[in-house]
Amino acid sequence: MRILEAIRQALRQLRAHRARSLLTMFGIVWGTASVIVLVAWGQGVRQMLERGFFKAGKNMGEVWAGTLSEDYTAAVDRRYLWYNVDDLEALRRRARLPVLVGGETDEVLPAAYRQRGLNVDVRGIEPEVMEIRGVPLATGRAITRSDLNHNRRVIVLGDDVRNRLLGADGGIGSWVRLGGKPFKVVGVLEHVGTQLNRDGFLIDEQAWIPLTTLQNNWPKWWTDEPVIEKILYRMRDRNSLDETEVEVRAILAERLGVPAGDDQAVGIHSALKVLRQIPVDEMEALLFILAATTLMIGGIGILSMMLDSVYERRAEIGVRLAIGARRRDIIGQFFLETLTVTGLGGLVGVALGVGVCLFMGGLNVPDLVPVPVLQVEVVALALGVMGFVGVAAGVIPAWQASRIDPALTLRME
Amino acid sequence: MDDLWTNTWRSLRAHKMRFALTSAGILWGAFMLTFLSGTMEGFDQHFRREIEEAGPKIVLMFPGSVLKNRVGERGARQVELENDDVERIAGLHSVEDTDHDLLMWSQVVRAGGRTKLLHVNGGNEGTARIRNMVVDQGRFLTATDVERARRVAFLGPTAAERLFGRLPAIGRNIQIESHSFRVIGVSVPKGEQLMHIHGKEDLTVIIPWTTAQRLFTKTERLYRMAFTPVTREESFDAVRHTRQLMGLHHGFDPNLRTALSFMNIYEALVDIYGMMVAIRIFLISAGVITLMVGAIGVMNIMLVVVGERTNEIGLRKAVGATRRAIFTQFLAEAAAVCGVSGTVGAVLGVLMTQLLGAVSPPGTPTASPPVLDPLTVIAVSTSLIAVGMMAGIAPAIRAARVPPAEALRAS
Repeated sequence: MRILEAIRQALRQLRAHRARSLLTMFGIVWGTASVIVLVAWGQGVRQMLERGFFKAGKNMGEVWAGTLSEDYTAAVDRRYLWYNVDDLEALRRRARLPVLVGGETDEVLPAAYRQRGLNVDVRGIEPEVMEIRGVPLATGRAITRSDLNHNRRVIVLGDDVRNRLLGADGGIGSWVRLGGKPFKVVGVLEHVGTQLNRDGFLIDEQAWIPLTTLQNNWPKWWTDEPVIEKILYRMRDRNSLDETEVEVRAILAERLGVPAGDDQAVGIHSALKVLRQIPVDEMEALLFILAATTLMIGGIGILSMMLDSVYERRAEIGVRLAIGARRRDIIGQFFLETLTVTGLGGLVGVALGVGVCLFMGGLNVPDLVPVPVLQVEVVALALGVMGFVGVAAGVIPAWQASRIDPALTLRME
Repeated sequence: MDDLWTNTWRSLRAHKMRFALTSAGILWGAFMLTFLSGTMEGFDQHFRREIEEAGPKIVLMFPGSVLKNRVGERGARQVELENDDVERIAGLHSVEDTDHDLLMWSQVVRAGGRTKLLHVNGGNEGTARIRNMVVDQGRFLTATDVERARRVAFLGPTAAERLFGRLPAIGRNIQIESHSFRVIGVSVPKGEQLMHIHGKEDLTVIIPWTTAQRLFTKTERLYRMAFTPVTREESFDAVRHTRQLMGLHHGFDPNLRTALSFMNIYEALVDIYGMMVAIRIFLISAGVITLMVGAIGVMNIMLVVVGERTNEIGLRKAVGATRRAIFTQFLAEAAAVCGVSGTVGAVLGVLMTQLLGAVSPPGTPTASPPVLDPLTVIAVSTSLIAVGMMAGIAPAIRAARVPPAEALRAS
């Protein structure tokens, strides 16, 4: 009953000073809303960055062969470095940390379909590469091991290549020419869009064929051996980034006959490394601190309003104390009043914050524009901070109210 | 005027506690706005610097092939890019610099007792501009070097270190394959690059393209070339013009996509810059709204003050103060509160930005924030003025409307 009475009191008080209470509650409303919106937005930035960086492959490492950094001797001709199938197999057999390993070689080739032509970044790949990159197929099938074993002339097209080359009328089963040679379209990749991590052309502008088919039809000019230009691997998780890199480099450096730490001969790139440089955690924490402070400033407004209220009602408090109310009752009453006002503002703020998040989330924004990502935890967090602010703002007015000397206030009447 | 300030000051002192509490809202709003905007500007500049290190507006062009569909012709014909084409493209009004961009991988380079494999590039006097290379010691290639096919080489800092260690490289001789070159300059290190176009640029050796063709490639054919548009926005025009020009001289339809491919760095950057603008708009809005909520607090307190001072206002009006004078007085009070606390907040924001810059490890995005960037200054000052007006006008109107007779009667 006492709680209900306090809430009723608080509401009456709010109604009595309508304009003022509304304006004061604005602070709490916006403070709570800003905790929700800013923290959810921080989540949105994180997700957008990860999406952008992982579009070409999640937790992926890319290895290429560069040039020797130690002194060159013509006796052992290692002017050009590259990987071959044996290196790939050695890596698969010996490396413990990568979950998946796949080889890739590329060549820019003219592609033609009827009267249409296009220069395409053609990647000769192993089935593992499709899995590592993780780009879903829009229709058709992936490149398989059996395609590699039989040197099949099959091709999987990126979204952009399909649109430009086949247009509306073409699809699975069409025959396209790559550098004059016929290839059957067996699959089309889904649209990938803006990538924050790319090697050469975007995935939408690529076409994928079996590794062996590319090696046999378009050998590299510097050697007769089938070349693997690039090795992709997926690490177990993001924490094993550095150790995986060290392990992979050590094995491949040994295969190439270069010192184990030669990062110029065995080049490794990982989008995670770039992502790690962006202080996302710090940014999220910062946004939270800023928003929480905004809420606290809102609390100060409530505090000042409640202090005024105590001052205005000192006569009433005096009478209550004189006819036997305990100080505890007075404390409880003002404390609950403050909490009611804060809670009311906070609930409106939660509604506003959730509304803004839902509204912005529903907007059709481009790929790389972060929108707030609403999570239950965020709302709970906002309510938690709000509760803390309410309690903090309630303590001083309640204490002041309880310190009123009934004798003094009664004499005043 | 003196009177106005004295009155304002007195009133503020009388409600010291209350004003201090409410102006905290304005102070915080201004702080947040300044801090977020300033830090974001630092982020923005950092990423632009990193991305544009490879060349702020470079476009690479690769020749492809033309399919023959006429009767009696089979297969494809290669588009042959040659020296003359580079000269023609250099004549386009949308193009600034052109580069033959000869690329020779893994050349054997000797100096002193060392033998290293380095990438050698054939360029011209504009190559430094195109690739955003800055001369650290010595000089870059000149037009005369190119014209006379001089045997001079400009080194990336890592290449210089590989060959000469800590010894000075300028004026020394190096052997590329079996030809002798004199080192004329070394560039400033670029360090870790976010974007690679020419491999690790700290490792390159740049020589005049004329010399490179005469001694090494021994052909006028090019496998690619690079150019820069006059402005980044013009890069799409420049690409279109290049297609038309090449089509005219090599006999192909400019719309044929196989004939030429382009890699335009601006195309890749447009999306990323769009993202940064979006982030900025969001953060600045959050700051501005916080500032506005602070202003509502000030308005609130001003309304209370007007109510409490109805008496005084009535008296002043009765002895001849105009509505305008009363209005100005209350507006000045609100403006003073917003102005002082807002300025303090903005200064704290700038200090906080700098503090964050000082504690961030060098090279991270927050490490080098600008002290005062124009956008932040404009955003903060305009919203402070707007907010001050907002906080002052309603209470000032209410004060100006107080009927003197009623106010006097009330006392």
